[in-house]
Amino acid sequence: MNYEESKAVITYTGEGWNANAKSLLEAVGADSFEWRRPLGRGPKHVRVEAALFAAAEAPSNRPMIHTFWSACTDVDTWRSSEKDRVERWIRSIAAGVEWLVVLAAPKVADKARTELKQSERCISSRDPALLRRVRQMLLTAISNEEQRLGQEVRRERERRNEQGWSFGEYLALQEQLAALLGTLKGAEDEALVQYDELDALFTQFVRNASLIEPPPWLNSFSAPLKEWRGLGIDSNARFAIVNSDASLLQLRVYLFTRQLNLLLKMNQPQQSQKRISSQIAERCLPLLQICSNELRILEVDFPEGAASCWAVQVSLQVLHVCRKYPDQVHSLPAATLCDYACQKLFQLGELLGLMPGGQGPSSAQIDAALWLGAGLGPEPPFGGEQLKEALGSPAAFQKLYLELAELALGTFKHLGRSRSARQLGHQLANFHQLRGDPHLAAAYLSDALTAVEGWPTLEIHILSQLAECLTGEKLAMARARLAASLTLELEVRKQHWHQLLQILKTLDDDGCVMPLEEVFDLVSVTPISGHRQQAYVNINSRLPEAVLVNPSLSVQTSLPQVSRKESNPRGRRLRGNFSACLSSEPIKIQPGLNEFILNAQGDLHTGHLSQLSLIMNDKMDFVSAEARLGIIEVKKGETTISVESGQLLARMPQKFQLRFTAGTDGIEEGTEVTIKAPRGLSLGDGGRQIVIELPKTEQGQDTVVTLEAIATPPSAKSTDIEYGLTLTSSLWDQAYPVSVHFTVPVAASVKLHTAMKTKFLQVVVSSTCRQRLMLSDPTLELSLGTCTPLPISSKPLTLDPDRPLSYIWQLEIEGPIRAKFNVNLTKDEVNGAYNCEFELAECATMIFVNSKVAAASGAEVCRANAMCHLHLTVEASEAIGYSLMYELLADQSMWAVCGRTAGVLNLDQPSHNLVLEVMPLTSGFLPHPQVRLSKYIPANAGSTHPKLEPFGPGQVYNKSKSLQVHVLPAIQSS
Amino acid sequence: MSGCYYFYIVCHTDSPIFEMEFMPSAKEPKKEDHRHLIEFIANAALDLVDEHMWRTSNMYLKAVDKFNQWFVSAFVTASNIRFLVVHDNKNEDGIKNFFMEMYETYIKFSMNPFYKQNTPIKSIAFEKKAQFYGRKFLTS
Repeated sequence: MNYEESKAVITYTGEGWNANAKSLLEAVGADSFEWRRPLGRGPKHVRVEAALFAAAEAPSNRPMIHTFWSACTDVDTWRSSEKDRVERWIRSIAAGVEWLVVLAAPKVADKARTELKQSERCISSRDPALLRRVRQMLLTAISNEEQRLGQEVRRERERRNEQGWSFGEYLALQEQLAALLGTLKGAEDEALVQYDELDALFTQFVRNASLIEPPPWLNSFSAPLKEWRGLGIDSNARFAIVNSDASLLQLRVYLFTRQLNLLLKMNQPQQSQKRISSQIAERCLPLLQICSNELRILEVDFPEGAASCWAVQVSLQVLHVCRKYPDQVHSLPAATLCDYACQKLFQLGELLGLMPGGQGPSSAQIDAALWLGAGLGPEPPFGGEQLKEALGSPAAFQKLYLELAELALGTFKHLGRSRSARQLGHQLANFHQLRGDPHLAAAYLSDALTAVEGWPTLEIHILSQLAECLTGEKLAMARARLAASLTLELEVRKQHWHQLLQILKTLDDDGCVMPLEEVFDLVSVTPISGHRQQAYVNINSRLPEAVLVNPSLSVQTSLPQVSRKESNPRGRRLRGNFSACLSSEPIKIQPGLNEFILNAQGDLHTGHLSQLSLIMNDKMDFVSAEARLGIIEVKKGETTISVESGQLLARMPQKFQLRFTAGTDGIEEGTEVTIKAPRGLSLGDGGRQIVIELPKTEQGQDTVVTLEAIATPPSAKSTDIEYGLTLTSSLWDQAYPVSVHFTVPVAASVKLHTAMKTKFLQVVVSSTCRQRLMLSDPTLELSLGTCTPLPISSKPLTLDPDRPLSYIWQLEIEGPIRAKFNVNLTKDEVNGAYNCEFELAECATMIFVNSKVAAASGAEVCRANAMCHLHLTVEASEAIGYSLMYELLADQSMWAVCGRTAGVLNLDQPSHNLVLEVMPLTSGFLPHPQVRLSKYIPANAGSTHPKLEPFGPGQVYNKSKSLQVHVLPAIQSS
Repeated sequence: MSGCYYFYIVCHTDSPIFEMEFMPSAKEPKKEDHRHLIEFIANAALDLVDEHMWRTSNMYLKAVDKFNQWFVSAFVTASNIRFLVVHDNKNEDGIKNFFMEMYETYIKFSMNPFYKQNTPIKSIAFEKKAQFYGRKFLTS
């Protein structure tokens, strides 16, 4: 159906019709007009073009208006004859069709308006409103038609699942609607919607066909393909479609061509050009993909390559159209389409033997190419004749392929779609490789490789391909990477490895430098500083086989120059300065973890361990990145000494070791060392200085010397004593200090006990060294008086760390004395002695105190809350020349002192009896209230206040100290 | 072969710094050929991720690409690290939750002063978290 045919129609009748009128009506489409539409759709500005027909020749089935052009210019003629003619004409018009009577003179028009009672439909040909009236009527006619068709389309669509419904017929109907809308300039998008609906409906049908039983009309689309023409309107195709006799591609091409035409129509400068034209390429790719999918779903049979051929053809045509819009040809959809076409073309090329590098197409392939070319049909309307040409000759094919690929590649890059570009580059590389241009292929592949860095399988895939395009050094590096790739199978890696060994033979002497981490993982580097510089290196080899390498580890002795921070492009590893390095004999590195030791050769250096280099076959140098792997230093060490001993006990002969570790120069045979001890420490046989001779000792070796010493600490106050030894020798410039720690093994304390006038001294010995000791022969020497040890076993006693020992002597002394305690210590058959001195103050018993609590007079027993008497007796053993002060110290929770609590006794008689009143507060066995006695020195001239002086320990003996009194509960008063 | 998820964290230089597969527990893991395809799809989707992320203010970009039965869902962190999940059945909410949790985990991980940006993530704790969230939101 041609759009020209579907224009709205204006018919004309009457003598008034002439060239003027014709040119007048032809201007109908010159101006746009607001089209108010029903069903809530927004108004649109449209232009209506109409075709003019004489009434007799007018086609039917088109929106139309009828016009009657009267030539009558005077009112009389109108009345006599013209009016009848017009009325007859009006009656002949079918109902619902718009009509208009155009009269030559305004006054006749006025007359007609009143007489025909149709003021809107009679107009003078000179009236300026004539055009507007015509347009309005045309729009009304079209609107009516649109509504009618729209309803019909909707009704048909509802029936789509009924038996006998046919897509072809439905398409014809909806196309009418589309065509009608297409006549309105400015409403092409509405027409496009109709085709989009058709497209969507069909797509849905095909999609459902894979799930449910397809309707019979769909079967025709499953017919084998006989031709695969590109875009273009083919009236036969439309006929076939309507009759359900078309192929799938025919239908798709037809729909898309319609859509394309409408898009192009919409693509007028005044429209938003960019938006619409970008849709052309954007719509094409889904079409191609959907089609190839639908061919599969419907199981359409077609010669191999036909679908690709068709896709390329359509792509080429669309790209050709896009070329008219310079901004479009470089748009993303166009590039994607181009990319798609490239892929399809590549497939075609492989199928038909058109790829470079081969022997050219075989005769079968030539036949297939001819067959495919024939299927494209005659000259396509949108360009795209290149494909036919390309199918015929490899050269043309390659040219076309490169053209497309480079266009897509350039556009991708331009739009910043770097990964898409690299993917396409990857494909292009295949092509160039076939063409025998490995350099170009390598360039594309290297670029593609950067895009997939870190994606193991992709990387290896591209790298394997890249290896095919490289030579020499680069090839060696690629092979090494492949051999070390854990993604590949072991067998494949071994192949790469053997190829690498072959290549290395052909490399010139410069060899190549490769990053170490591509093949080995540097696990750790442990530097050992000192006179013998070493480094332990741990690496993990990913190579499939063992390899013999020359290892070396550079030492960076100076700071790197900051300004020379050069950019290190990937794969280009620079070998740093190895003038100072640790190295070793060639070593064999097995697959997996390896540890080896590198030694300093010749001079020693101080600096950072920087680069590890493993040179294989003298050609390939695996170098790690420059880094600070650790610090290595040169140490010119002196002989050092350390003390080795357990816990050393004072006052006993003890042994300890001095370990001499020889420094860089070693120790000469017979070197003399003088050891001086401080006061309180005697060495060897009792002196404070000894001289020892050392044997010959190599550097780094040890010599141990054992010394014996006795420490006699001056006092027993501290338990841990440090002694500083001073060693002098030719080994050191200055005296070498060494400190030794001693622990005092035991500590002793004394306690004085009194029984009436008898005195006992208890010496408690406890261990302070947490070791078990044997104690024997305790003695106590007094400065005055005598002492008798209480009979205990004279056998040695064992002193455990947590169990102190006690010795007791009965004393017969007068006045203050000094006592010295001695005891022998034995530990592990080593004997020592411990002694300590005590001061004892005056301690002879002078006063005896006796107290007794009894119930107050009348009562027999003590009761709580009842007054009791405390009978206190104070006796002096001999006359003393001062008064005594007594104080009652009662526990306030048990006793309440009712009367006096303190008083002064004048001891002019040997014994005093006092009665004090106390009241027990609770019942039970209560301890007696305590009585404290002090010397009372009354106030005299020297001091204004009396003074109290306490007695020394043991001078006052309390006979009733631990007595208790039984107190009964208080009597309950009723 | 449905219900598989392949998770990638892609750094600024387009290299994956973390990858993990999530399979429904009943299924045997597939062989290498599959892996090549998945990597290919994930890598190819990066262009689309870069394009999509300017179109929305959300970090979760939903499905950005589709290849045969495979979908690629993406998430872009504030520092432009891209999370990709290649999956073969729709699970928009699950993937979103998974991404959010992994984002949290990744942030915590990247705070570690000993972790250098754009280097592979080698952390057992991180892997365990990923596995846990994968089980919780994807394969359960």
